[in-house]
Amino acid sequence: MAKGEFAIMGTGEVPHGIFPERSEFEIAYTVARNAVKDAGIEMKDVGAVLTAAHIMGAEYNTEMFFGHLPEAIGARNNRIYATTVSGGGSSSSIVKTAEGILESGEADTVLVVHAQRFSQFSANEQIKYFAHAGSSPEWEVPYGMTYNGLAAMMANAYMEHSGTTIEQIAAVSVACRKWACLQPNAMFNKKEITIEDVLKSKMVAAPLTALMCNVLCDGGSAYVMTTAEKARQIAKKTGVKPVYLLGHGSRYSHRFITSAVPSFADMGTMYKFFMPAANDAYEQAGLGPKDMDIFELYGAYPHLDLLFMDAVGVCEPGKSGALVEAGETSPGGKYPTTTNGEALSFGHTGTGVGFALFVESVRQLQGKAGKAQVPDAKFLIFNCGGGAYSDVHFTVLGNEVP
Amino acid sequence: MDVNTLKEKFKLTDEDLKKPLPVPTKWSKPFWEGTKQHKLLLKTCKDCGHIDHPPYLYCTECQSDNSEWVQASGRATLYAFAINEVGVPFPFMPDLPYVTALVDLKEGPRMLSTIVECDLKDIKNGMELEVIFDDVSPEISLPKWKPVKK
Repeated sequence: MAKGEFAIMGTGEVPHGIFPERSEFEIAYTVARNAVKDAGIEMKDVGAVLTAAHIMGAEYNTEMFFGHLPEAIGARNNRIYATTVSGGGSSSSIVKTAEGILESGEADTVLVVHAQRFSQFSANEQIKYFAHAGSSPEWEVPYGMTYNGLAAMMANAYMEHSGTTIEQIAAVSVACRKWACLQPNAMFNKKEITIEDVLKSKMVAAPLTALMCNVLCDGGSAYVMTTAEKARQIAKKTGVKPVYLLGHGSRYSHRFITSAVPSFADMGTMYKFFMPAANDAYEQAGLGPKDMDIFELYGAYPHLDLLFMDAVGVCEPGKSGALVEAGETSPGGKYPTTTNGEALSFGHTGTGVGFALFVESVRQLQGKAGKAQVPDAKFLIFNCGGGAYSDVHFTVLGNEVP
Repeated sequence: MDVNTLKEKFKLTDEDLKKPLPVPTKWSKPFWEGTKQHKLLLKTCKDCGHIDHPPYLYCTECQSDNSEWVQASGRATLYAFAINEVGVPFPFMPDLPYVTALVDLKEGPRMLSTIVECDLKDIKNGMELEVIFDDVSPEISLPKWKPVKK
């Protein structure tokens, strides 16, 4: 991708939470139509449809693998469809798939759709699945590993080696909830929480309490991606504001946490692994941390959000905890961070946490973020990643090409 | 929660409470044959000396097939740990609270395991550990770690 070569034009989203009666197919159809309408185009303009995988959902995935969605949403002129999966990093790899399709010239408008309905599975089925998602069935699961257990070990090491306190980690959950309370589609948007609430909530996997752990839920989102040239034509006709992809940076470390590359294995300074990827994205965009109006970071656990803050230059590495505790990343703060509250408060929809945050990023830069709107936001950096924190992907977005 | 309460509460069978065990692969089989004899073996490349744990089909450093299984010292230090309290798969519920730990072997590799024969409050990162073997089935013995007595 060349800087500013592609743009996002519109987004769609449904409320996140526990909605067993709303099928994943209904979610997909709904967010698809919303995104197309929001983009100022018509369904017949869509030339390619990309879907994200539904975690644990065999029927939905099989249907998507065999071309269900373009038919169901009336994308009559669609030529290409595909499912792109790379765990929690899917929202980045799907952007890159879309770029390839747009680059090929075979389609100039790509619709990207994510849908997930966890509520069809029992709590134990979900716990069991996520133990395997983060851990090796042969080498780790036999010891009773869970995803929370994995994150808790990382928190234990991060605190010891960075000097971050448990109160500072709790402060991330508090900030995420504050943002989610400004989001009509967030799972937890009714009541703010305090550091004390977080610390006093039930211990799940020490040192992590319940309010430091994300909650699986149902939800989905979609967006329309096109070439910058086409985006400017649509903008001229409809007034819809294009959001340009300005820079990318990615790194892969490991499948299982025990095999992490050296820069990741020292868990106090994991930012050393994330930072080069963030710097690649900044460099391609020709921008730096000081140019960012928002930091849309997704770690799914509060200490991981701190590690990403350490990496993107919000502050000196290791100082992110203090920054969050001082309220600087909350609404009204100097460094608005994770403006939808991500997995901790917006809700965890499998591969969809990154999609929801990406869609929120676009809304912010289009001035459509409602109560969560950061005034005059022009540039932001977004990240996602998956597995046992196996990989990391940063993207710089802007509503102009600098 | 004890096993009977658990069974009653969630209407579980003995099958539901069976702990998942490793299923050895073609390339990991010697490791599990070793633990059965209470030996900790590491797949070591004879060409470049790289140790792969977990082991794979060929050396992940130089792609060589030329490897040997070398017995490890059985000594390690604790890198990080978590104490699991709730939200674990059914078969592990009777064990709560229990520890999952990242253990750094003297030979270099990091392993995921658990700490045994130690009060939860005494577990500290950096502590010296030695391996023990838990014969969990006739086929599988899991390496676990206990503090080295000073």
